Amino acid sequence: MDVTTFIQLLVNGILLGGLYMLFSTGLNLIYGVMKMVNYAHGEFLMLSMYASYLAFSLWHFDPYYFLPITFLLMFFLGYLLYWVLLRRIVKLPYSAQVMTFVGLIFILQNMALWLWGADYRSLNIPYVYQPLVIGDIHIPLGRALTLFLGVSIYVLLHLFLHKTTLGVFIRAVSQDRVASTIIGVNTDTITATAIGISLALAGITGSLILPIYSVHPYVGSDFTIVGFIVITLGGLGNMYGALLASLLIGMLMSFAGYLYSIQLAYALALIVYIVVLMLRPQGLLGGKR
Amino acid sequence: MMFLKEKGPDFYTYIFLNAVAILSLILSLPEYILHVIILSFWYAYLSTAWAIISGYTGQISLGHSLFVAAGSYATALLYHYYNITPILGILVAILAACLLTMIIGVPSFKLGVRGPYFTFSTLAAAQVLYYLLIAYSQITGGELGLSLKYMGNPLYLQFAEKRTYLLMICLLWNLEIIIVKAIFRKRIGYYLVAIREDEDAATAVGINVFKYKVLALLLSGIFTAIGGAFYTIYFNYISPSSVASLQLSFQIATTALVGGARSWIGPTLGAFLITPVMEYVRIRFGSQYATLPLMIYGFLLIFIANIASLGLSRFLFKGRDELK
Repeated sequence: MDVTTFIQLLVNGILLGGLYMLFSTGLNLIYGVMKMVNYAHGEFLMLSMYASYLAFSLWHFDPYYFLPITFLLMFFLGYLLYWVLLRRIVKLPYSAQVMTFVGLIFILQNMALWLWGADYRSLNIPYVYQPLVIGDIHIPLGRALTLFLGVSIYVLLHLFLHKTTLGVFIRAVSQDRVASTIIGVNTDTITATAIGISLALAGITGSLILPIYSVHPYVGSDFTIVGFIVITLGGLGNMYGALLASLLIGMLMSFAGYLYSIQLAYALALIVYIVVLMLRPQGLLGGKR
Repeated sequence: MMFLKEKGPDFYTYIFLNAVAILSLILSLPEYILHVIILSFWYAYLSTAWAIISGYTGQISLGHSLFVAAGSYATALLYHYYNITPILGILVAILAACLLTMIIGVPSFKLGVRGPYFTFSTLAAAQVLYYLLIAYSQITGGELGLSLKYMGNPLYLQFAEKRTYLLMICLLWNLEIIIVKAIFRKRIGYYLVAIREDEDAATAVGINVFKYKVLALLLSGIFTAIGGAFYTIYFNYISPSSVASLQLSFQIATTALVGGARSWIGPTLGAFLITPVMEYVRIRFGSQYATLPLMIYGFLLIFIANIASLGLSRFLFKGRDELK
């Protein structure tokens, strides 16, 4: 491997890491406010990939411009999902929650299969492949743009959660639900908003990833798995830990995917996850649990 | 055989299903009906095995296709490359299940992994095997799978009559039910239920939680791996998407949950309610709406989770189904 390839892979790894970060923050948010793992999170990403795909192929709507629309659509979907479904199942035993999420996975996957078929679909936007040349290194413009937007959204989210009242409420609910009810926080509305933001993040990741990836009905499950790896490796609720973990997994996927195959890269990521958890059960940067 | 003296709807269901099996062994039913009955028994067998770790012990696994795949690939590869009969293959399948329990169960239970973490560990482990099976396609045949040669030799468990396979899976299922019932009459059964209800309290009263969780997973894994070996024997064809996929893991888990994973007859009830209907819909509407059955199934799962969150057997049999 020469230096150029190495740096290309490095950039690719950072990009993947950024996307995983964005996606898994949503997963973390749901776990925080509801103490439930959304096993169908990847399926919502798949949904938004298809939405962006259709917007481009029907009206030539650029996926990057489509971002705000995906954000709003997925936000309302999440808000609705909470009031219609998640609000009821949070009181049910864990097995019934698993049943509900598997049900959601079956519905969404097969709906996509029914509407759009099992083909791998990808967009062909010419400017996405134009290289951004820095010295010897060529970075396709699409990837650079995706990375830039992903990082910006992540920073905005961070500011939102720490500087605005709504964000502080969301963090309060995820720290202690009962205590936040006592001080007068409307936990239902806050949780619905958090679920909305969480799905919106999955939606944004989908729109960002579409110009450089292809979409098919089963694309979601791999993302759900990687997302869960990232939030557990980082230590649940620890944003910096998750950042480190997503970069680590991104690098691993990038290098192992190039050297071996993408299947082996996934297998390797899962093995690393198991080994790290054996040595540090609380996650890379997590405190005592 | 204490439990032959029992009464109640759960026990009558068990007798009824055995009668169905005996009748279909005597009568010459159409091939397709037989196939559906065999499939239903297969799912009943796998879901009952799943319920040992996930229903009674309460450690929900979404990766039981790991054990199915280990059992079926062990049997298939031995037959395909070394011409070893599946009778010995099943023994290797059992060994594989033990090994996988050591790799997955021991570290996660040692670390006190529970709830969603355990669910996820199993899901991830199953997915690792799925990717490995695809990645090493020179050996496993990759995504296309392995087609095994049919010789019609009974020593290799290959029979012309479909009814022989029905007899085989029905016996396996009966054996499993009897073992499960026997275990849950003993102290270990109460230990497992105690672990499900409150792990910390179980530790506090002196139950070795780690040991009994590993035992439950081991038992469940061995049964499931034998189920996988049966798949190879019956279909003579395996592929990662049929035995190692997330879809199968989900199917096994939800079948048991729909029927009621905490009761001994629940998973079987689920399998016999779901499999025939799904197969019927697949045949009747499959050509136009191939995705319809699973979509309806998804809605059904959400509906049942809300009205009968512990499964239909408790809903129908009014609490008579708990392990006693």
